[in-house]
Amino acid sequence: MSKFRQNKSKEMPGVSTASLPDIVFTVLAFFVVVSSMKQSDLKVELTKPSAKEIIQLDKNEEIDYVNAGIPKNPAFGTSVRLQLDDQVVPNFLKIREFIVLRRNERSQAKSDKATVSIKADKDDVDMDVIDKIENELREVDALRINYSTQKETKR
Amino acid sequence: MARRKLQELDASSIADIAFILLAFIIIATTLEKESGLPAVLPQKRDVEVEPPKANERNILEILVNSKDQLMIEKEWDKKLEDINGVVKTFMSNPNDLDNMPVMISVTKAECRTQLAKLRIDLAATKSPETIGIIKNQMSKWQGKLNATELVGNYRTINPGATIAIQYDKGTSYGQYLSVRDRIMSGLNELRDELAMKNFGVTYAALESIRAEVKTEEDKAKIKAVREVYPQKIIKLPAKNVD
Repeated sequence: MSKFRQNKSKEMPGVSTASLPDIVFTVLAFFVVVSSMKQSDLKVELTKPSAKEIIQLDKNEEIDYVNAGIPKNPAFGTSVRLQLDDQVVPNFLKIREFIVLRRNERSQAKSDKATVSIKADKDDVDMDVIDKIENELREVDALRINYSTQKETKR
Repeated sequence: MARRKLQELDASSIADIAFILLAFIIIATTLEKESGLPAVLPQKRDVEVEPPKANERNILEILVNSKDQLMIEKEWDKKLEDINGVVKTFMSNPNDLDNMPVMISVTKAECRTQLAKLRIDLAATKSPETIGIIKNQMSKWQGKLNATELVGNYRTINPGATIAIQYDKGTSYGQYLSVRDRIMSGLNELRDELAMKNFGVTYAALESIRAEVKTEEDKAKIKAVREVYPQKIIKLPAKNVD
């Protein structure tokens, strides 16, 4: 009997929180691995076309974005404009500048592998615009491109 | 012996720090990875040359007009769904039809002979330009040889054949991409069949293996399948089509 009584007098031990940081760090590590930094906000109206046969770009790949669509803010114009980084530009010639600028920020090996992702609105943008973008890209020898799409149900 | 008990470090605040970091990362990131249809643009030339007029049977022409209507091989009123089947027959020409591209068979023996021949040529030449050309040829044949080792002797489309997309300046980007997508889906079905037959997995499954865990073997398999069914899509310069 006396044995049991002794135990009763002891206090309930609190739940150890020592492992909590480990758990949180694990979750943190997971997010760091699977996520990428948010892109700059879109200033043009953009509904990406959908496709089935899409390929995910490598996470380590360097990607530059060329967005095309009708500006959300009518002050920038009411027809199709380009957005490079944060800037809405009406002129296709700006693409060269943009690509060269980006290229200079990187090492040679990395810029050789860089891809330009064209994000364009599926209805507002016509092929004339795409042709102009591609021609500018060819001017600066940025030949690896990606037509950015949404995922459609996989076959 | 009197041993002093080690003072345990108070770890409760580490959890808070970690939570703050976690919150920051969640807010600052997005799970959406960049994906889409990759393509490689042709190199810029000083004088834009017209693509050489290829043999009629070697070209599959898909035309999209400014109203987003489709014409496949000179026939109007086609639907997006039709592209898939057309591409499959074009790329494989299963019945050896006269109006479809010539298929060539690639055998192990032939690859070896060609490679041996090129090696002799390489030893005989000194001009750096020719060496470059020969090395280029050699890597092509080596690629074919590697493919035969994985899938056996195979028949493939002749190198001159292409799928050409002709569009108008007013064609919507969405429609153009759908066409591209359907072409790829036809091609990928063929690739899937081939990979399934030889490796027991689909090509799509091989492709979707994450880069970090993709083995050399997987890469070789993908290369072999692509060797048999290459992606040959060209974009013809825009012209007015009604």
